[in-house]
Amino acid sequence: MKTSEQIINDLEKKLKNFTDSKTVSNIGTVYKNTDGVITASGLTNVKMGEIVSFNNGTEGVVLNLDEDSVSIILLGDGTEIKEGDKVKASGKLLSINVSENILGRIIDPLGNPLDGKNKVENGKNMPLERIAAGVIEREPVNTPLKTGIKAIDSMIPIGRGQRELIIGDRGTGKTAVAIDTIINQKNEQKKVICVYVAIGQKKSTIAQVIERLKETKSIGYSIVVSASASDPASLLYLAPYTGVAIAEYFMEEGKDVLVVYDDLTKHAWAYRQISLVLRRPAGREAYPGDIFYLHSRLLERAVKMNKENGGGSITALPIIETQANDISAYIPTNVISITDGQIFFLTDLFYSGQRPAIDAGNSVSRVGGAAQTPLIKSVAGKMRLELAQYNNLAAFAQFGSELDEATLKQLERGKRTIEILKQSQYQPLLENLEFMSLWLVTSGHLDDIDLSQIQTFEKEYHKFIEKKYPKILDSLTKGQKPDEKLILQLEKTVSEFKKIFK
Amino acid sequence: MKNIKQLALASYTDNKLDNKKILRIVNKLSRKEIKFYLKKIKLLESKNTIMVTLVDRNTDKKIINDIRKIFKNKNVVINEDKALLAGIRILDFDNLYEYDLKSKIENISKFLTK
Repeated sequence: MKTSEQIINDLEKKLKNFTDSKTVSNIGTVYKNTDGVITASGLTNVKMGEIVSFNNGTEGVVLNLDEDSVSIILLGDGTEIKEGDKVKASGKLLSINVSENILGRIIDPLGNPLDGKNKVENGKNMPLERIAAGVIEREPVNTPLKTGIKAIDSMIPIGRGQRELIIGDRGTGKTAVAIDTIINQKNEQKKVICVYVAIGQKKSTIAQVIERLKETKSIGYSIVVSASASDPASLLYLAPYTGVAIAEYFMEEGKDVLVVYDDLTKHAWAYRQISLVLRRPAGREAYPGDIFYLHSRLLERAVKMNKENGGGSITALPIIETQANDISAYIPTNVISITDGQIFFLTDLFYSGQRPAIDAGNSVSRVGGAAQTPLIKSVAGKMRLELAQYNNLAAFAQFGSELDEATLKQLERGKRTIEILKQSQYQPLLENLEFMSLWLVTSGHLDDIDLSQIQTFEKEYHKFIEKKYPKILDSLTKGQKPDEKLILQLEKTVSEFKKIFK
Repeated sequence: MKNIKQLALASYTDNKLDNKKILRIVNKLSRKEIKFYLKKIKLLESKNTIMVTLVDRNTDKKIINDIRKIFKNKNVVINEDKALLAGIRILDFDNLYEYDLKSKIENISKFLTK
C-alpha cells in the first residue's frame, strides 16, 4: 500500500513531463447521428482520418470532408450522442501502441485488450494508414515461408515478403491452412511472428482459433486482432490495418512477420456499408469506387526489405470467400490481381476427401522456386508434372483395362500423389519429413502400396526414420539437395521398412 | 442549393442580419428551401459570433474590451460559467481557445491517467 508521500512523489515525477500546449482546439457541433455515422458542422481544420472525440468520451474517425460539414464514423457506442453535442479534433491520426509485450495478446482494432490483461503501453505508436515501402528499399523474395503443408510447400511455395491469396467457398479449409502455417512457425530457426486478423467472424470461431493456438503453444509468438461480426463496421474496416501496423513494428526491427487476413470479403462488405452510409457514390455491386484501393494499399505493405533497411519482411495471407467457386466475381478478381499468387480451394475436392482441398491446376505462386529450398525443389518439379499428367488422363480412367500399361502406371502414380498430398488438420510437417513423403511417391516406392494404405505407410515410415535413422533427418534439415549417397541410404531405409510394414 | 447559399450571404447589411431582406427571401422559398436557408443563416451567424465565457461577467472588463477590439467585425457574446473556476474560454466558430483553469485541470488529469 503506497503512502500519500509516495503517491505525491509519483505524481510530481509524471508532471515534470507535462506540457499543456493544447489551449487551442478545433471543435464542431453534431447535427446528425445516423447508422453509426455522425455529421458535424465546424471542424474546418480537421484532416482526413483524424481522430475526434465526443463529450461522452466516444471517439470517431473523420472519413468525409464536405464543404460545410464533416462525416465521422464512430469507434464506439454512439447512442448517447445527440444533435448539438460538441466534438473535438485530437490532431492525431489513428495509430496503435506496439511493443514486444503485444506478443501473445488478443486485442481489438483500437488496441484495447480482449484477453483480460492490461493495455499495451509505453511502446511505439504505429500509424494504421501508412505509405508502403518504396521500390528501392525492397529486395526480391528469396526466403521460404514454410507452411508445413506438403501440397503448398511443394507446388505453391510461399516466400517471406510475398502476398499469397487463399481463396475458396465457405467450409473448404482456408482458415485451417492459415492456422497450420502459424503453428508450423514454431519449428522455424529464424522465428516468424504471426498476426491473425479476424474480420467479421463469429466470436465462437475466433475463440476456437485462439484455443488451438494455445494448445499448440503457438500463441507465444502470435497476436490476434479481433473484429467480430457483432462489432461496428468501423472496427471491421480498421482491423486489417491494425494487423499490418503491428507487423510493421516487428519488421522494422529486422524480423519476419506473417499476417493472415481472415477474411477480406467481410472487410469489403464493412467498407461498402460505411461508404453507403457516408453517401458516397455506389459503383459495381454497390461497392464504392475505391474498393480496389482499400485492398491494394493494405497488401502493398507486405514487403521484403533489403539489408540496408533491416532485412525484415511481412508476408500476407489474405483470405477471400467465394460463392459457388466463382473466382471471376468482383472482389476475388480485384484481390487476385493484387497478390503474388493464389491457393484455390474447391468444395468438390473437400467433400471427396482430398484435404487440403487445393486445386493445384488453378493455384499458383508467382514467386515459385525462389521460395523453395533445393531439398524440396529436387522432388517438387517432378511431382507437379506427374500430377498434371494424371489430371489430363483422369478422364480416361473410366476405360480401365482398355488403356496401355504406361498410361495405367501414370494413373496409379497420380492417385498415389494425390493420396500423399492429403494431410490432417493441425499437423504441419517439418521440411525433412515433407521431403521424405514427396520423395517416396516421386521415386516410385509407393507404386506397390495399396491406395488405402498410403497414409498409414507414410506416417509409420516417418516414425521409423525418426527412431532408427535420425541422422538422415538431421542431414535433410540443412535444406540442401540430397546427394547420391543420401539417396542410396534412403533407398535402403525404404526396403527395410517395407519388410516390416503390414 | 447554391443559390440559397448566396441568398443567405445576401441577407446581411453591414455585417448584421437584415429583417426586411430575410422576409422578402423567405416568402419566395419552399418549405424545404427555407430549412436549408435557415441552416445556412445559423452557420453564418456562428461564424460571425465570438462566444466569450468568463467566471464572472462583471469582472475583467479590460479583457472584454480587448477582445471586442481584436474581433471588430464580429459579434462578441459574453457568457458566465462558474465551472471554469478561473480564466477565460473563447469560441470563434470552430476554434476553441481554452485559457481556463477547468480545462487545465482536465488536461493534467488525462495526462496522469494515460
